[in-house]
Amino acid sequence: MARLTSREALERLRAEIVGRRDPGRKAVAVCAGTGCVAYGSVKLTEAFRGEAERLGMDVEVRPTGCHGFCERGPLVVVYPQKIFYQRVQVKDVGEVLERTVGKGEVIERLQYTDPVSGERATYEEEVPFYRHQMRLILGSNGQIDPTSIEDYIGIGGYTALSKALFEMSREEVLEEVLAANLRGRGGGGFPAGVKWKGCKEAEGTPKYVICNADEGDPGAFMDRSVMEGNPHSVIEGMVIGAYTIGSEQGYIYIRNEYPLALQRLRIALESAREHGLLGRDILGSGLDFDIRVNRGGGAFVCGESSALMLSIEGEVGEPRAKHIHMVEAGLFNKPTNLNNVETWANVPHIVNRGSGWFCSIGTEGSKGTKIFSLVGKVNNTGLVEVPMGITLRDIVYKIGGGIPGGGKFKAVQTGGPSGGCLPEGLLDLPVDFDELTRAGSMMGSGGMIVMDGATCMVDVAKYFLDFLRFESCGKCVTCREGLKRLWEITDRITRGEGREGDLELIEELSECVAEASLCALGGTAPNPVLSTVKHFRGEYEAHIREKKCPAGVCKDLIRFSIDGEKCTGCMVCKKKCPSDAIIGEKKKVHVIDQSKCIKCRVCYEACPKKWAAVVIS
Amino acid sequence: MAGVKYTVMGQEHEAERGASLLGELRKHGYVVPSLCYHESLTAYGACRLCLVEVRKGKRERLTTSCNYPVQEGIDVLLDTPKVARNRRMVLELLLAQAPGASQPLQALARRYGVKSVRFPAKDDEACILCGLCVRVCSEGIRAHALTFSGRGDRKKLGTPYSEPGVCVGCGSCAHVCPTDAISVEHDDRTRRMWGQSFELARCATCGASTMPVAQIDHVVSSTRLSRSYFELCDECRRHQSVERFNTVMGR
Amino acid sequence: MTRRLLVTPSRCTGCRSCEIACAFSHPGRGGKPGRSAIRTFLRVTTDARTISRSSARAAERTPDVGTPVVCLQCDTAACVEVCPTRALVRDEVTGAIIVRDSRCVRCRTCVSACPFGNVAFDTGSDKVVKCDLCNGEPRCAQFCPTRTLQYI
Repeated sequence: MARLTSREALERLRAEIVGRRDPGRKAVAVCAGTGCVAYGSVKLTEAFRGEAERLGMDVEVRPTGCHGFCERGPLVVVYPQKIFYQRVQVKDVGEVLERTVGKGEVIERLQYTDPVSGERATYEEEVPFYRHQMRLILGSNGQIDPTSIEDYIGIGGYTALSKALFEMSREEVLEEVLAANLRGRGGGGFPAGVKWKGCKEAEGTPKYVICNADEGDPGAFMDRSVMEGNPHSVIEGMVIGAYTIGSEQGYIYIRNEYPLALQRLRIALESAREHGLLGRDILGSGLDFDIRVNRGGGAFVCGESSALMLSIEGEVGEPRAKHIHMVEAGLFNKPTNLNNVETWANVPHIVNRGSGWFCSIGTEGSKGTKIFSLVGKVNNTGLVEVPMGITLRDIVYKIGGGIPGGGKFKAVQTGGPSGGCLPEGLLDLPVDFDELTRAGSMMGSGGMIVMDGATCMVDVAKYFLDFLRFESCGKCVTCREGLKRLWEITDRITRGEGREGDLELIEELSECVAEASLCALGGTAPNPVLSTVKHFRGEYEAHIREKKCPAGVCKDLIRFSIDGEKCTGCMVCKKKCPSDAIIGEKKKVHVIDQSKCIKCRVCYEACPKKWAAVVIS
Repeated sequence: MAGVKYTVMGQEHEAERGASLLGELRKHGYVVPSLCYHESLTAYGACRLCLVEVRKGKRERLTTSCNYPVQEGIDVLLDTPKVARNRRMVLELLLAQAPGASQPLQALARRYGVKSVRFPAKDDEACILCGLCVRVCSEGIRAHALTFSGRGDRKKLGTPYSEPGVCVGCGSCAHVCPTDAISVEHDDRTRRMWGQSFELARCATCGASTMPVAQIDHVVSSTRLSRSYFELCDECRRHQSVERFNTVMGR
Repeated sequence: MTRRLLVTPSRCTGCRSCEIACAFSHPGRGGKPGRSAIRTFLRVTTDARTISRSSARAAERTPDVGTPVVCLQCDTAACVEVCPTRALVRDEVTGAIIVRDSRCVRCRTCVSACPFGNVAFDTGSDKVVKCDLCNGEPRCAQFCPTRTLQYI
């Protein structure tokens, strides 16, 4: 493959690729994001290929990036009609090929059926999960094989780079990014254009651009899916950034726990280099820029920009005070611009379509779209990309499909360990950097965990404190000792050893940790516990004063027993109990031996719903 | 010298741009507590005791002063209510973390109004993880014998892999430690620290113990001093220089 | 022009007032007199040999038998060069090489570095001891009865 040494060469290649592709061509796109791979989509892809060959069918089988509707994987889209199938198994392959690919027939059982209305969706846009989204960044995932640069070029990839290099000056690109008010998608929400400007104008060479792919928030996988599904979009963004800032060396710092994303990134970088879109004299423009991949060592704190840069330098990832900004002295003490994966992926869109278009989406202070990982007690879990300004209620109900099992919404946690829990009363808050912060939470990197009545908010606070106190770098006293003590207090509360004054102490200590810590990890760490104390104070007080856990979660405060009136003696729970704690015979009422019960909930889950004889009190 | 003008509670001062605010405040006699700051080592910002409020333009922020570079036009506020309450809480956390360091911490706690320690303090730990020993060993002495291992509340101080290693026995770590957490034992001929026993060199004339042999090795390899400098103790070297002088002067 | 401490050993009677003056003007632990930075060595003449000894019990005490040794404030000082924390610096006003105690980490490399043994360490007060010219008013010179020590 010859290197593309001019923009004309790129356009010629693009035309050739598009010309080769018949839009009416039959194809089966199988989602190959990590979630669907875990469901067996690799085997599914092989099965499709094998069966198609056996049937002598001329159909392209294309593994693609994450489609986002992880709840319903493995996902398959049949082209050219774009018929959407969910929960496709290997046993369905033959039928899909014969009926849908071959004859255009829709297989009902593989369609998405709305649990409430019973409506079936034929095409992706009809699925309520997708209908309310605006998939600017993730939308391409389904159309391309992430390991094929030609697929990316075929859908318009690297047009923005070509435009920036040959039609725009560095100042003009900067103006666009500034005007678009692209705010950091990694959690900080800091205007990317301001960072770029600071770095461009800083004194010193060489200058570095970094992609923060350390995505450490528990339950967050937005960046993972962008990198797995469309790695070239990130690369293109970085090259445009490097051109604007004046950098020749870039880094992608990716957490080692993302092997698939790492693999796809490496393939993409190599093919970009082969095509002259990375490396020396990019597209014959004279720009030299290459990207090196650094892997993280498993520390959440290395997602903090100064710690990340130290980690690249080979030092211990401890953040430093940022009175001198990273754009002036960052990596190796040189001007460095760091942005999140999703932020970089937005750049080509802004360059192609202009800041005016970007600003038409979103709210006054938060422009564009944001990808959220919607998880927890919600029907439709997965990745959603929505315009800023959509309400939390719409995300949870219209896209998420509400709480499963007809449960009641209790809270939504946004922003990962740096964010807070918002109760039902705040569901009409728009998704917006400043609004969420004002409400005591944070946009964060996009984690969104939905909770129902079976979630104990004290337990949630304890969970996040436990995560953070171990992930804290341990340098500053407030974060290291403060989080430890906050955890101790919430732990005592969950074990029924809460005391009067604990909540006041939590508030006092949290204030100090938030105000006096060195970096944002400590600065935002009290958010989960503070927001839950604020919005669910009654639940805390029940734990402290009555030694009760209303949600039935805290093991020391709950008791499992069997309602004699409902139990039919079916023996199911007895068989499943891991500690032999259930006494009973067939057709006779069972009893739980409290001395052996480990409160694992297996009996509660196992008892058939029609009897629901296990009671938590 | 690039001088910048700044104020401390309205009082004007001048400093070199980028100088440590804490260093400058102390030069002018202001009292700001700290435990992890040492004038000759890079600021670390671990203990959080040197908090001040800095007003810059319209922004006011609480910050540690040791690692805050002095800038033109800032106004520094000491001992504001925000500073005071954060400092009290920090001291309370320190007392709970290091009950074995009570002596220096108690004095600070009394001074800054810590009423009680509301967190359980279990053992006899004295180390407050301030990092001074690590920094003096790596930046000053350059023996790189000490390090932090672990993270968060499991962070620990010690030699790499907790094994005796490249320590030269100079004892600077013990000197800079603000809570006397590092033990150095001496007898006539050896010094013991960090699980290592260091043989002390002896003066060739009077036999007095001078420095650990390992430290001599280290200084010889890292400076231009030859080993001959270390043969005599300072007293005998003075004798020797007097002898030489007298010989030269024919006395 | 920086003043210097001039030592004229031929005038020294070995009275050691200089040592007392230095010790008292640089208190050690608990306010007690510290270790002196200047040391006077006495020559004792026995037989035909001349040996210098700091013992006070000299066989014969005559003028011209003492040799005060004090920091030479070297232009290219070895102690300054080896200090790992730049605690030893030249004072701009007096020209003396002084110890900035807040920077000193007590590694004692300077004690070994001085070829003349003019840097010492006082374990009692845990401090490096060397002549600082008393900030421009050297006490030893003030108290020297024979003008052996002069600050010129």
